[in-house]
Amino acid sequence: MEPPVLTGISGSVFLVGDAGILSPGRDSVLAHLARELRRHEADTPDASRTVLFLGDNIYEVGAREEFRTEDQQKLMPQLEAARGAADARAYFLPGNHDWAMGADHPEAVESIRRQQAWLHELAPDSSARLVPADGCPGPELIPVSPGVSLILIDTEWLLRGPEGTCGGEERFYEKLTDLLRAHSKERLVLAAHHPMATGGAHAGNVSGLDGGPFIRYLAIKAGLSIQDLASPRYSAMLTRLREAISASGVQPLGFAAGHDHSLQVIGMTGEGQPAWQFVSGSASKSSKARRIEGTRYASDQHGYMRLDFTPMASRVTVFAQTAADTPLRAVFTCELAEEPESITTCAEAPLLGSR
Amino acid sequence: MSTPRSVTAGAFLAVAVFLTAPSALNAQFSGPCRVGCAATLMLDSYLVASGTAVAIGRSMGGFSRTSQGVISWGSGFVFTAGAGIALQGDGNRQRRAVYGGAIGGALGGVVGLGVAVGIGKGSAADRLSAALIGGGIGVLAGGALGAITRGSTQDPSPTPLFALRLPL
Repeated sequence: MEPPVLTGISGSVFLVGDAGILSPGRDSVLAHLARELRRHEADTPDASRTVLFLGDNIYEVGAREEFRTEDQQKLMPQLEAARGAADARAYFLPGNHDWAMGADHPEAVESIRRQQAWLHELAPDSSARLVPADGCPGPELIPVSPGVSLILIDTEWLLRGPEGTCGGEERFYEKLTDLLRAHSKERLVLAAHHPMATGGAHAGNVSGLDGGPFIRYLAIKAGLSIQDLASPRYSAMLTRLREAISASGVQPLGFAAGHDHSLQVIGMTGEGQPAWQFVSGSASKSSKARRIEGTRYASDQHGYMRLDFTPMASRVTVFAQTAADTPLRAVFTCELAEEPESITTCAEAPLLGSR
Repeated sequence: MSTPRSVTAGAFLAVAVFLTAPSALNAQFSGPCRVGCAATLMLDSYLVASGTAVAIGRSMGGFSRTSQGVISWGSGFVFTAGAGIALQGDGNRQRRAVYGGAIGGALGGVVGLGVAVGIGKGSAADRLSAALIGGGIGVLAGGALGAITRGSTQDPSPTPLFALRLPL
């Protein structure tokens, strides 16, 4: 299926999450990504192309020197897919699995620095790099096209809050507020590994028998893991993010994340919330996603998303398998209204033709 | 956190051992605490284990490693199941402890939930956590009370409760 033509695209951002494990699903996703990038370059040569890998780039415990070959095999296909367009820039966000045993572990930052160094070796022209770098949380601004920027955040660092590093948490939130204010006239998309809203497993969408009879279920529902939205530290991080956004007086257009292994487009309302949550975390693994308040699209299939920007409009398109072992195709697209009163619309555009 | 299957498998194994003891040993299940009691002990242990994991995990802001969850959950389970098994020489006392624990767990869960609602802890996770912690405390309190309370009639038989021989 072909998404409707959006003329005058000045920049596109491809959102690919949790791609760090070898799987047939990942092969399909990365092959489609490379083809889409080629097509995008041919159709809109003047537009910018940004590929955002949303964390968990190397499962299970990040980059290990003693398993260099094995771990680089998880990373390389992502890099090669991003090279589908010669001028594409690829940014790899750190996820919880990239932080090895967790950001508060003394050796975890070594795993992050190692992945950063590997990307530098594999892409010496800086067409691909780990951002935020050096095991710090950012925020880092990445311009996409005139009037459109990404702000990249390492939420695993924020969750663990390793003491005495990178200026501390408060400094991060102050910088985020300042950055939002400084670019208040732009369309801004925040990106991190952990979502602000999701209907996936990390928000408790698991059945009672997943992972043992009512053990994992209760653990997630009660917020026992720091990686789940209900945990005290995760919910505190979300509160601080919302406060930092609210203090800036700016409503970002979106928040892109992975973490849950599904595809979700969610309209968000409320103080300090970006207008849209994009969860794109099913590049190599998949798990259930249910509809929550504001959900416009949810799927547990392998896939990824693309954000297109023209001088006047923004649009999201979801590419996914419709069944196991089938080629990806565009399954959902909608215009992203920026006016708060229009956020509830996100009319699903018809997908025309077939490919 | 993904709870390892080994913990689940261990719990199932423990239940299976209780419920499928050899027939010669099953004959000893003539005491007051039989299969239903064994199953209730498992439920008590499950509740204490969950309450322990919730109390420790949430006080830390959330477990950052799976092993932390496993150790917390497993230690609560083993402690409670072990305490119940240790009472096997006194069937009446064991029955009172096990069923007292279950009653205490139910009451504790309700009290925990009520406290969470009462102090305005609004999220579902907060309420569930409070109910599980209250339930776990209730099991321990009810079990302890049952264990130290004398029954109105003496058990005429010294028959052991569970036909379980641990190779220790």
